[in-house]
Amino acid sequence: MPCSACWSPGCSSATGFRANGSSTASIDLPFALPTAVAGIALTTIYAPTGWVGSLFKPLGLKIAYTPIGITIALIFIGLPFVVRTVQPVLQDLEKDVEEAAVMLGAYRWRTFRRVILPELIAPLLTGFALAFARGIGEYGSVVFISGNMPLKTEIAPLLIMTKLEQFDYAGATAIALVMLVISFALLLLINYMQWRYSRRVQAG
Amino acid sequence: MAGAIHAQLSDAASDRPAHVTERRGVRIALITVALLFLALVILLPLASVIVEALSQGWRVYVESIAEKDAVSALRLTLVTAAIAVPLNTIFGVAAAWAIAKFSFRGKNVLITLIDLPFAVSPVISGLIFVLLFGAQGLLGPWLAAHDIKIIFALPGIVLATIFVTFPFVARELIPLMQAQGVQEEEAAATLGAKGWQIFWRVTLPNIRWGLLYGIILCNARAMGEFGAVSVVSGHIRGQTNTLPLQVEILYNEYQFTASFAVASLLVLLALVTLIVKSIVEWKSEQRTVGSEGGTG
Repeated sequence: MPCSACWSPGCSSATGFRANGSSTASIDLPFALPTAVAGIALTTIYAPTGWVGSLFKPLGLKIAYTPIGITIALIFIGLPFVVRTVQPVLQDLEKDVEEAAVMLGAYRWRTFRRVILPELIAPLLTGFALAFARGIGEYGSVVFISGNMPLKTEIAPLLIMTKLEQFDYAGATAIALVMLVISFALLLLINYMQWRYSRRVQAG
Repeated sequence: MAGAIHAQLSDAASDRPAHVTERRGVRIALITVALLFLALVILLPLASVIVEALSQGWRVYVESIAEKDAVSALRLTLVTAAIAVPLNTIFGVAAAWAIAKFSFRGKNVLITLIDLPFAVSPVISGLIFVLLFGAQGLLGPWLAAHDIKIIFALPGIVLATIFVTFPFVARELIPLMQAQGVQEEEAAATLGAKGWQIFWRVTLPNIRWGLLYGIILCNARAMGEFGAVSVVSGHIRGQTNTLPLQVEILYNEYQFTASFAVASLLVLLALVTLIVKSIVEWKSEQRTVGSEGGTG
């Protein structure tokens, strides 16, 4: 069966939209595109002179070289993690369950909220944690768009780089250690979610 | 565009009866939002690389790519991938084989360790090797005494790349091999096949599409890795610059056209990766459909 572009919980496979191959493949682009390339491309578009940045300039809104730009880079990097974790679960969801909900008098929105959404909480959290872990450590795609202003748009990995260039190994390691602790906590959370999910599937 | 979506919608309507699907307006709204988001965040950057690279015409583009430092960066990237990808392929198959087909103590620890490079920042991955092999590092004095250069040289770049791309093949194969179970191998063993024979004749053909997929992803990351390699490379022009590092240097020197020209090579790599990936997915889907038909 052709795969649906069920890439957000709202746009579920239930909408019946069959993604042509190109939009399915383009979701994986952030996985395949080197981060440095993504970085310079996003910066060029969202800079005040860029395709999108120039549209927001008259509104007095700066995107590149601000936290908004950093956020956009992290959305780009994190998107496929959430899509690819939620998608298989949505596809495996039995249509019968939704039909049963309709038979019992639930409207579509209620079916989504009470029947579909609860199934998606585990994969959504897993996807969130994966994207979050990646976002914390991300360097290549952010370093160009962030502008690197100390205390304003300087991200932790860049701080490690700066300290390394000054041969401050102790300082770099200290920051790295804090980031490692966060990564491990997230890894534990992901493993726990997957363990719980597989247990529930086996029980059901 | 709207026409195409329209056709797809009505086509899919036969899939799901009206009572278990969204109203038409809701469906169109959701799909529009999704496609718009996709265009804004993903397709636009891709287009901008090509446009910027060609903004001063073909001649400048070709000259930028044929430039001495760019060629040496390309060579270094290819050499690094040529070492890292096969090593990680061998490791990935071995690890997936061990995890999926056998049970042993510490299996969960091994699985978590394989995942580790995914959870760690690339900058930290590079830092690990600097702390280990750098001049002030644990093994630094010994390496200096024996005149072995690892950091700021090819071995460091290869090591960092191997570390970062470590999980790709194994991650792809473990669920696949777990799902396939051990029956076929056991059958082969009862028919008198030896260990290697079982691997080449039974296991490998069963996992070949998943393996190919893992190798492609591993290769894409190996060629495109930026953060980890940036820490260990030292940015010596013409010597320790990989393609992504060359992109960064040119960009920071405001040589935008040249930077995007080199970046376009990496875009090409990404597109080839996605195309091969789609073919592999299509092939393996066909395979499962075919085998389901066979048993049914």
